[in-house]
Amino acid sequence: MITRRYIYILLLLGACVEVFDPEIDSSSDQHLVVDALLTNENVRQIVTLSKTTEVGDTALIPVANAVVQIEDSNGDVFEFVYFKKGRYLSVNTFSGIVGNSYRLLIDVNGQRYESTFEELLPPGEIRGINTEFGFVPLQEETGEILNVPRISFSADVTFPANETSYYRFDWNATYQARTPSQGSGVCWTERGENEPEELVTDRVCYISENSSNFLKLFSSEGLEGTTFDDVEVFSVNPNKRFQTIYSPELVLYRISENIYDFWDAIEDQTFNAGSLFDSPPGPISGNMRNTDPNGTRVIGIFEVASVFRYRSFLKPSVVGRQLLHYDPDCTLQPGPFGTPPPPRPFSCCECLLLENSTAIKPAFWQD
Amino acid sequence: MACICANAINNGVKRTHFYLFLCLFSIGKYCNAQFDQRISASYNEAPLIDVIMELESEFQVKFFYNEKWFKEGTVTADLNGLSIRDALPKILEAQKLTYVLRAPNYVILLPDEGDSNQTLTVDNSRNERVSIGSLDLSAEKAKISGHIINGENNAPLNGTVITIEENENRYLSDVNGYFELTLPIGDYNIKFHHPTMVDYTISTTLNSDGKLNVQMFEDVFVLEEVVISTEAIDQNVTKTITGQEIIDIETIKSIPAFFGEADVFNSVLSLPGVSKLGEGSSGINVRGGGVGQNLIQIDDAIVYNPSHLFGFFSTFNADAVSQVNFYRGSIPVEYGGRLSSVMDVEIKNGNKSEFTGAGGVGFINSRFLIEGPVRKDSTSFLAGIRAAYPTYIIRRLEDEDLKNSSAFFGDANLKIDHLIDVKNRISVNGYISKDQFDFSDEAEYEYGNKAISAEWNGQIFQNTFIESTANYSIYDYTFKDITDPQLASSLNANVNQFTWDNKFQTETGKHKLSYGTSLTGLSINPGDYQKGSSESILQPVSIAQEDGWLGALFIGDEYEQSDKLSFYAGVRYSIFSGGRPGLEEIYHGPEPRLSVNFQTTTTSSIKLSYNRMRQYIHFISNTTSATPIDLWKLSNESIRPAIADQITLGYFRNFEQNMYETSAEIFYKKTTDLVEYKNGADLFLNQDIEGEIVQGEGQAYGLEFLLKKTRGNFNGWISYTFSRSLIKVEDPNPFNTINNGDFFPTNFDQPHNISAFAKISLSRRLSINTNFTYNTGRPISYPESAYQIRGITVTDFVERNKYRIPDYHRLDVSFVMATSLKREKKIEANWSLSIYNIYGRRNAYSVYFKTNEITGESESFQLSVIARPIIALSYNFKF
Repeated sequence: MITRRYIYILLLLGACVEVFDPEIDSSSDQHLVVDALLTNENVRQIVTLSKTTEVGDTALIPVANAVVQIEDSNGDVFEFVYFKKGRYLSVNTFSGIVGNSYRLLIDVNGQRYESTFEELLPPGEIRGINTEFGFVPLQEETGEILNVPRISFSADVTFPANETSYYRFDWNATYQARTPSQGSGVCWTERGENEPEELVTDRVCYISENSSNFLKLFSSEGLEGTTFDDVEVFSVNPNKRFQTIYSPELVLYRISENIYDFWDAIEDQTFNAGSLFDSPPGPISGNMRNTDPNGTRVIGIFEVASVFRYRSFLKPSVVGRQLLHYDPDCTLQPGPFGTPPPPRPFSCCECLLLENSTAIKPAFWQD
Repeated sequence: MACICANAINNGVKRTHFYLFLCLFSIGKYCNAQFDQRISASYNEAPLIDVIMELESEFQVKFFYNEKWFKEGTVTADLNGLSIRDALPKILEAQKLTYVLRAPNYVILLPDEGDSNQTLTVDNSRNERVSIGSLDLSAEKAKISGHIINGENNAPLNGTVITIEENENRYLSDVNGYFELTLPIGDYNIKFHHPTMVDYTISTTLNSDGKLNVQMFEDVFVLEEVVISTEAIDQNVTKTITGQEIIDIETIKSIPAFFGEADVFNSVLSLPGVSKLGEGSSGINVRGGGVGQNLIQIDDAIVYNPSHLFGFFSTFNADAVSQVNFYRGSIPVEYGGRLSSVMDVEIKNGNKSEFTGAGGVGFINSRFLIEGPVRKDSTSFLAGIRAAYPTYIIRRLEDEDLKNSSAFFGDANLKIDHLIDVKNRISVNGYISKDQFDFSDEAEYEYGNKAISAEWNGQIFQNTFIESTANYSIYDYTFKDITDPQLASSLNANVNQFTWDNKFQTETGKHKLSYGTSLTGLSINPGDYQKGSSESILQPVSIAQEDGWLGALFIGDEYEQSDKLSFYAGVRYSIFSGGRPGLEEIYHGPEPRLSVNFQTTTTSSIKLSYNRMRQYIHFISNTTSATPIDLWKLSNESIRPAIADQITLGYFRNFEQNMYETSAEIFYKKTTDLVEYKNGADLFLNQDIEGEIVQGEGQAYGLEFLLKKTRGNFNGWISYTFSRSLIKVEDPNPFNTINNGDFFPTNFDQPHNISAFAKISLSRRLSINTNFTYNTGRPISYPESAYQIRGITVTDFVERNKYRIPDYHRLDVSFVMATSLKREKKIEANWSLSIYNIYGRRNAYSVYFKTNEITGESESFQLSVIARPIIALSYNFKF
């Protein structure tokens, strides 16, 4: 905290942050990366195996030839099969049982990797979702600072007494969307091949969105009582999201302390770097080990977590009506003098063209 | 350098030319060329001072005199075609002045009418011979008495050895600097020797009882922009202790500084082997040591955090500082407890004869100091204060958060010095520093040092002196976070230290013995974490207080076997008891110190030293730069004391009558049980911090060169250091082994360091000071690969400190202009315009990697703390 505040003082003195391209030795060996999650939800559990890449490369290098198993503390083994893009799915759906411990076993290229046993702990609880609307400064590429609207969502959390509990949040959301010019022809003058045959003027779409590059942790360490209100989880630009109903779902994963420490280190090194008093970064140790001490290194985590989900349906009143239909993409932009305005994106006339859109009402939806 | 004077000690005149001309007697030979230049001028009732200044300006000669000697008369003379040597008698004809010419270009004016009843007279015909008393043909013996004082601050110099070279009898000055000796009438060479001053020998003719007051100086001092050294053999060559630097206040003030504020650290940083990690980093790194390995004291009281504003300024008011003794090589036995260096900041004793003061007004801060007698000639005080006022700048910024923020930092000194009697003197020094910053009703922090020390100097036997010091220091910080009422917190921590030192000094023959005891009580409150508001649901946490005792016995002997060979040998035996409750432990061991000086010629010497230091209190900081909320931790069952062995070999050589000083030193230091941190160590409010620490083996070595020009209109120095600082951490648990157990660079390993300082005196009013610094970029860890986990791109840092940030270099310039050249002015003042980082180099403080939350890509950035020139104007005065 003190370090972040101090950055402001530095700015007074002429501090500067600029993009820097260091010379890095990228000839290091590729290592196995494990990204595994086992929950108490009865689904096909997923384990993703990949390899490390060069810095700056965001492509995932899948590992497809592994034998993957999860073993519980009773000796029961759950087999996994390769699906695609490094993802292995459990052969059958199954759920972790609270109180049991599990470990991940991987055989690949003659190396055997295993995790420590992780106990599935009882879930935490979200009692409610709170919203707060405001404006945050955003610096444009031109250097101009704009105040953009932002709505943030926070959770009221209940946690067990007399023990420290650790959590990771995730979120997803669905909202109803009616594009401003639904069914009209203002978006195009000639019909193309990929456009819907028929333009429905009263179509209602449901757009879903998931977290991306998101990590939010919470722990009850050092807290009195069993509740904590307003844990800020995520925020979005209201824009077109709040035309009718916006339905965020907060997901609370109860995890063990050492899994929490892993995510905490990732948060520090990945999102919070850049203060004057950073701790030197280092390798982040998860709970995976190569059974051969002289074997190749393995990175990643086998996360065992119990899940608590909380969904809310929010009406535009939480934002303020002046932003109800604001969608910069579909706002008519004047063209150069004497020329007609440029056509709006097709998605302004057909909500199905929006990303992750469907006209099928989700089962959980409440009007 | 030393000089003598009549009735000088209490006449309130300091640093006049009068003192200086006498000091110059020790320069040996005439330099003819300068004085054979021909003059083409004639004067008609021209004031003498104007004639002198014209000659100085035209012929590059320097006059030294006391203006009080000048008669009202003027100069009327035709000097055309005369050399300076021939012209001087004509110029001085009406003035009852005579003169002495001295190399390289000095003209020393002297009164032509000696008073045989005065304390001291100078026989010009015999140059450096001093006539004491009136001629008394009946006398067989006579008594010489007088006081020996530090010419810089009029402080008495006790323990000065006075040697009559003809019979090798030795005498000692008492606590008041007073001496008395009786000799047969005759001629004598009398040598004055004090450990912190330059030796001085004077030839005397003893006629009858008389007084001889002596002022001694360090090797150099600054007078009106001219640096003068008077010794044929300088201290850098002759001192037995190697790696010791005495930095005077004028040097501190002349180095261009951040926001124009003279800074003690700046002067230390210009020495070879001393560096820091960049702007905004606290403390200094000495010969490959961490910032927590330096013992920093103010009048013997320890200062745990010597930095204001996270390292931009030191917490010492330069106006209040007498001098800084800095040891980085051979460290005398009276010092202990830290591995790398000792920085002993001495506060001036107040002026005992009249009220004087100094101050300055700057862009970001101001200061004021006053000193004077409480009781004339026996008791004095000194009070100084510095305060910064950045709030008015912060609140003018557009940022709403900053408009609601405020900041302050400052410090204050108060010192009382009292002469009890001729053999006893006491002084009490109080010191406080404070930093405070409130950020937009969200966070508040403050930290500061408080110290009080009392010192008694006494003569307990004829040749034995005691220096007994009791001091108490506390460093505390408070950090309040009130951003979220539920999590509002207040964190307090402090370090307390009480020390009682008794140091005895006995001089017998060629031996100078130092011995004594040291007892230190330590109490550390690592953290008291409390609710910051009534709504807060934070659980208060208090980390257990750590207590410890540190005792030491020490004895050292400086032995001058011959003019060519001297030794310093000693041992300090330290014992520590204490630590975290439940893990208390006792550690003890010897700390031998040895130094040998072999003077190869009168201007060169070879020095060899060996040092062992033990450190029982550890600075716990796992950040790039030390922060105000870093911890100190006592050794215990799990954390062993760190032990450093250092060996240094140096060659020192002076040229041109000490105008040029050169040195080359190599050192090797091996440290055991250096504290290092596990990957991802979490130190904040950690009850079991031992679990986050690993201890390794340190290795530092280097080569240091220094070239210094000590006088002239252009003076300064340049130093180059090549050094490495490495550490090896092997742990039974392979996950705690760092970099496969190989040696790797510490955070402060900066192999190449260049430091240059130059002072150019353009005229009597205007001088330009420049300071250049170059360092190899510090080590840093870069990721060598990346991976995806849960959709997040994570960079993988494997090898610690394998890479380096870009090199650091910076040039600072300051222009200092005196407001007036009047010699009788009541206030001496100057304007100082300083430009820090004049070419606006964006020196990297750090390079970091961060994942773009929108694109998901890992991006790398460079953070520069000072990315542009910082210009500051300040007005400085003294009266």
